[in-house]
Order: sequence, then C-alpha cells, then structure tokens
Amino acid sequence: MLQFIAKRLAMLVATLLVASFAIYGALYLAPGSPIAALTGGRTLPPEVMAQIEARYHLNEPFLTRYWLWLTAAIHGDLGESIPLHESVNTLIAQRIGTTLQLVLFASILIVMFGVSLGIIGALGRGVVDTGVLFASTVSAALPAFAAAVILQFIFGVYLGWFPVLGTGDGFVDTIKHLTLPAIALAATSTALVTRVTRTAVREELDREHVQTAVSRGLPWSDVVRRHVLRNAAIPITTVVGITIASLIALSAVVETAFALNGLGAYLVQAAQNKDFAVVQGISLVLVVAFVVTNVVVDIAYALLDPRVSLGSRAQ
Amino acid sequence: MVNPQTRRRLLGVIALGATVALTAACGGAAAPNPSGGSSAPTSNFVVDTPVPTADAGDVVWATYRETQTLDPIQGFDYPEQTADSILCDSLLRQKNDMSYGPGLASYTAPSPTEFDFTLNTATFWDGTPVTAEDAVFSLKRAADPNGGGFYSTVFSRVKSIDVTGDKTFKITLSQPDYWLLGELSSTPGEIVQKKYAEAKGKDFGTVSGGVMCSGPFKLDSWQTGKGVKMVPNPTYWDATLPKPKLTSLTLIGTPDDATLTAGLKTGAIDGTYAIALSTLGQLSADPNVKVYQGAPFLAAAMVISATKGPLADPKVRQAVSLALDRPGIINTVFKGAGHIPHALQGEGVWGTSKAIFAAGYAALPEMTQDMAKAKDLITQAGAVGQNITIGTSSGITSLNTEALAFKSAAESIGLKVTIQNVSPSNFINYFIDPKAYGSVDAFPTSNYGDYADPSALGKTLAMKGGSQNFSGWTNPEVTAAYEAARGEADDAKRAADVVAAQKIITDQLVWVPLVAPNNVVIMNKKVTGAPATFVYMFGPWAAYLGGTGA
Repeated sequence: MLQFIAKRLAMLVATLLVASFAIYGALYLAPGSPIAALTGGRTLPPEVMAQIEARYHLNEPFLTRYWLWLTAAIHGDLGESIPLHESVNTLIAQRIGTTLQLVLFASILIVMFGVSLGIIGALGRGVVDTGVLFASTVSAALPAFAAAVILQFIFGVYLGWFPVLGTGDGFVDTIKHLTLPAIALAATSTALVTRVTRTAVREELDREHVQTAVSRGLPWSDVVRRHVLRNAAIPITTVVGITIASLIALSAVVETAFALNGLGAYLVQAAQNKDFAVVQGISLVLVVAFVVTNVVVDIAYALLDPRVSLGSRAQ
Repeated sequence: MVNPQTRRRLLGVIALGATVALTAACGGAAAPNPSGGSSAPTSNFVVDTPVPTADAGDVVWATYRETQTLDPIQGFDYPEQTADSILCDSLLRQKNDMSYGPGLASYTAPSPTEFDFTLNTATFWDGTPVTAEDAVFSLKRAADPNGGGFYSTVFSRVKSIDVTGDKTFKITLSQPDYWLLGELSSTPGEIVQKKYAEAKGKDFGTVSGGVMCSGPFKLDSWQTGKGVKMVPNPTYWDATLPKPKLTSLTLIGTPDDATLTAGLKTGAIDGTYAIALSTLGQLSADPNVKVYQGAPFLAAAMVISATKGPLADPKVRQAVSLALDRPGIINTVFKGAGHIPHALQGEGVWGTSKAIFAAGYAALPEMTQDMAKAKDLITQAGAVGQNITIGTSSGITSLNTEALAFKSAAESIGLKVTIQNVSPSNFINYFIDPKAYGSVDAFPTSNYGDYADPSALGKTLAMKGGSQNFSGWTNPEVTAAYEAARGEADDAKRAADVVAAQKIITDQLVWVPLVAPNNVVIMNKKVTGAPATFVYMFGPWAAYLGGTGA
C-alpha cells in the first residue's frame, strides 16, 4: 500500500511538472496581452504601455519567466494575478469551495440517477427500458451550456423555484443556489453512466454463472445483488471515476452561466486575460484532482474485486 | 429600415423619458442644464430616472466583468470606473447631465498657467479631513509616468503641483491647459488618502489592500468572484447629493448575456449599464424590468488606419460612408438603441456649452445612405476595383457585425475587400501594435474619451502623436483649433473651437462614424434612480439609486 502511494506521488509530481511547462508554454504562445485585461482594449499611450510591460516582466524571455514561476511555486508561492495584484493562493482558496460543492453535488446526482436508472433499465425490459434509453439519449444530447440556459429560464425565470445566479449563504440556501447548476453539470455525465451501467448489468445478466444461479432457484434479489451488481461494479466505477474527475474542468461552463465564483469559470477568464500565474495555479489544482480521483478509483477496484491488486488495472 | 416595432418601443421610451424629466424636476433632483441644452433639437434622451421612494435594501449591480482594481489611477475600463466614481470624489464633478463644475474642490485661475484649488470641508471614510496634502499626493501619483497608472500623459502640461495651505494647492502649467479641468472631473482627478495609500504601498487598490477615499459610498468588503460590496457613507460631506436609499450596493461581473438577462428578470440583479446587449428587446418587453435610454456618449466607428491606398483618400471614405446601411447596424447590433450620427460622438459628450455643441452637430448632415452620390464619389476618386483590408475578430460579435456592414458598403460601390480575422484576444493589437494596424486599412471600435467633450476623444485621433492616431492624419486647421481650445478659458469659445475641429474631422472622416449608441440603463422594477447618462463612469451616479417599493 505504502509503495503504491509513493509510486503514485512520484507520478503526480512528474505530471505536475510536465503539465505546468506545457500550460505555461501554450499560454505564452497564445495571442493577446494581459494589459488588454486591464484597459478593456482602450488604447494607452506607448510610453505608459512600455512602463507597464516592464513592471510585470512581460518583456523577459519565456524560460526566465517560467523558471521564476517554478522556483516560487516550489516554495509554495503560486505567484500573483496581474490584473488583481492578488496572491494566487488566496484567489484559489476563495473559489475552490464553490467548485468542490458543485462537483460533489453533481457527482451525487450522477451516481444516484446514473447508476439507478442504468440498473432499472437493464432489469426492467420493455417500456421501462425504452424510457430509460430515451431519457438518457435526450440528456446525453444536452450540453452543459444549453442545459444551463434552459434550466435557468424554466425553473428560474418562469417558475421562480430556484435562484438564477450566485452561490448563497448557509447550507439550505447553498443547496438551493447550486441545484440548477449541479443538474446542468450532471446531465450529460448521468446519461453516460446510465448507458454504461445498463450495458454492464445486461452483460452480467447473460453470463453463465448468473443463468446457473437463476436455474438453481436462488432468490432473484440475491442473484442481482451478489452476482450481477458486484461484477458490474468495476466498469461502473471506472466510468464514474473518470466522469467525476472531468467535472472540475467541465464546471467552467456552468459556473459562468450561473455566475458562480468557482475555479472553472475563473480559469477560462484568466486564460483569456493571459493571467499566467492564475492559469498555472488552477491547472495544477485540476491535475491534482484528476490524479487523486484516479487513485481513489484504483483503491476502489481492489476493494470491489479481490482478484485485483493495488496498482494493476482491472481488465 | 427601422422596423415599426422597434420604432414604437423607442418612442415609448422617449415619451417615458419626458415624463421622467418632469417628475425628476418636481422631485427636486438634479436641476436641468442651465445652458439651455434641454431645448436643443435632439434632447429627448433620459437624464434622471424616477426618484426612489423606498429603501432598496441590498442592491446588486452588474458590470460586464468583475472589478479588478479600485486604484483610480488604474481605473480605465467600465467595471473599475463604475466603482471608483462612487467611492472616490474627483476634484471637479461630472453631473448627471454631463456638465461639470465644482466637486471635492473648486478652482480659480489667477493666470492662464495657474489653477488655485480650494478643497471643501470633506472627510475620508475614517473621519480624517481631506487635506491639500492628500490632493497633491493623489495628483502627483496619477501624473507619475513610473507610478503604474494609465493617465500620466493627461498631466503633460503640468509643471508643478504644490500645497499652498491646509485646504489649498496650486497647479502650475507650462502652457495653458483647460482640458486638464475636464480630466480632473473624471477618473484622473480622484483623490485618495495619502496616509492609507503610502501604508498599503503596492497593495493599494487591490482586494487585500482596498482604498481610502471620501466618496458617497464606502468600501465594505470585496471578494473576487463575489463582487465589490459598498455601503452608503453616513458622514458624506456633500449634502447637495441625495442620500442613497439602499443598504448596500454590490458590483458583480456578469459576462454572459443570458445570465444577465435572467438575473434582471428575476431581480437577482437589480440593474446594469448595457452596451449592445443582445437581449435588449426581450428586456424592454418585460414588465418586471425598466429600460431607459440616455444620450449617446460612445463612438461606434471604423478606425481608419490606412496611410496609402483607397481609404487614405477622403473621397473614398466619404463614398463608403454614404453607402453604409446604418439603420441595419442600429437594429442588429444595438437592438434599436442608437441613432444615425452626424459626427463621431453624439449629444452625450456635450458637457458644457450644450447649445453651441448642439448647433455645431445639427449643422453637420445626418449620415444617411445615398448610393447615387456614393457611386459618383468613388468613380471621381478612381478607386473602383481597388482593394482594401478590414481588420476584425469574428469572436467579438458586435464589432464584427459592424466590420461586415462596412465591408458590404465598400463592395456595393465597387471596392474589393479583404477581411483579416483575428482572435478576440488578438484584436487589441490593432490598437497597440504598429505592425497590426499597419497591415489593415480599417477596423471597428467602440470608443470614448475621459470626460464629456468631443475633443476628449478627438484629440487622440486627429492630433499629431495622438494615442489613437493610427493613420498619422493631421490637419493644420484642426491642430490650430484644438490648440486654441486647450488654451481657452471661456467655455463657449472653447466649445466653438472644438466644433470647428469637429466639422473638419467629420467632413474628412478621419474615422468613419457608424452609430451613436444610446446610453442604456436597465433596472429591475424594484430599483430606480440611476442616471441614464455616461456619468456612471465619472461621477457619483449611485447616490441617486434607491427602491420603488415594488
């Protein structure tokens, strides 16, 4: 176990290093200037322009700037946002809560509805299955940005059941504010999980050992619980894990639409502004989240299936 | 053509505006402009919206992105200037009708190169008095080319700024400069507390550092992503401004049109100043939302950067301008909230001597379409079949639509047009990179100057060395008129000089005006009072804000 974690930690550090360099490079090559974010595109006199470029080291060569950033980052200082003059650590700390709440909420929806609808579809044939298939098709075809606008206008503007923007204060208010965003974020992924669960369960149902168990007259519920679901759990865990890990990045669209102060929306905004330190900081958080989720999935494999040992992928 | 429905809506708004002006006058709000501008032929725009009758509680106001700094010397765009204008007092003040007069200070000019300022008895939010020491510190900070501010060139004729007493200070100029007074009524003239700014150092104006000013609102809290929360300043020095009828005002960034629209409809957002908002029609029709249209301040125009080729010839520019479908742009980009211009900027920029500016504007022809004349001109110029290049970014919808309208106008009179499409983040390069603006002949802009005067923008594009003079255009008469205006103490004479320059700039189409976009303010029915003019960028606009009791 310790060896497994150490190995994963080393991988994490390597991933972070490569990712940070790649992101910094991409941002450096991308068009635009952080100064435009300060001026809204209004023209500054050239002497003022030159002075500001010098102030933010925008004239330094790429490797120098990356090295300056990296050495500071190793010491725990992720740098400072250019337009906000604020430490990136603080900026991330202020926003990570919203994103975590949103992703957690959406994950619960995905697991709850995705897995249960998949099982229902697989077990109940006929109309029920067709219904599940239809719902998941519609849901899969609904990208988060479209879902956000539709939900906002139906449940926010016309029915007035939920607030259309902001995060709210306190537990109940927060849940109320995050319900529509979480549904919008979960829609496509729920469909994916439903489809995978349905197929996995169907496959297990057709397996010989299940047929044998059924023909031997074992109670149907025991067969489903012990022989079908347990075996189907591996592919379901895989797809749930990958889906949840990707939610943090996907949340950008939903956070923007619902004016939530999360990491995703801020990442998009910072990338547009070429706010290097912020983009780097948030990207690193995303990479860490992705790697950690995968570790959790790996541990889950080992718990679900004794044949799988830690570190080896389930087949 | 303007479609009948839009026209009706516009008329509705204008009629409402008249009622509003009447109620406002009865309610004792800002007095109508004394120089008689209200009788000018085009003055049907709203200035003051209905006076609030109830406390509005916690008000949320949207800007197109979140506020990034509160330091006035870096306040150069909508969110920052919307916040700074109510937190920090300027030395002089822009009123709701965009005329300017005494503010935190008043001045006398003992000689053409001296301004003596006397500060009012005002206090900062912490209760300490605003002293000449603070004012001189703030101005020097803004004027310092290495101070990190955006306005240092505004002070180019300032020789020295000296404290002469506890409440008095003197600005000495190298040459007479009455344009400086306009700037001092705007963001560059905002006064901050010296002690606080020095203590905070480079953190001044940031989320963690904050600011210390004397304005009608004081900073309560600021968290990025959640907005700048401000509360009325209970000890505000100026009793002539109304007390804001609200508990708090939070400025939030709402980049998405759909979110903004949903927010305004449900009341999650109480108000916003909107530019080219795609959902304006939907909001105008909503009974829960009020839309007011004030005088146009912005210039929606094509920048001409051509130094050679067809567009360097004024005849060709005139021909393309005559071929333009301006009502089409007004409908598609501004959803009806705009006018066919006579010059680069409309009546929103007539700060002082409105009657003179109004007459000068009215004397210029309305830029209506005239294909016959356009074809005649382009043939005379011998430019048929020649090629021009237009810079645009398809990612910035409103500007791109304007660029495409310019393209079809040019093509309709026989020019060949190449489009140079760049990414939205690269679009800025047309304004800052000589290689970028040198590679195209024209590109669209939405532009404005620092205060209400046509020369505030005009000087950047029609004077030698102007920050937006991309084609190097100069004209001895314009230069002389602007120089005369800058050194002229008398408002009326200065306005006459600016009008003279405006006539040549418009005849020659140094830039090609496209639309005079109305200044649109949108409020949920719960909230009222925000002035419908561009004063939200420069003056204490939110002091007028409050509730309707709805």
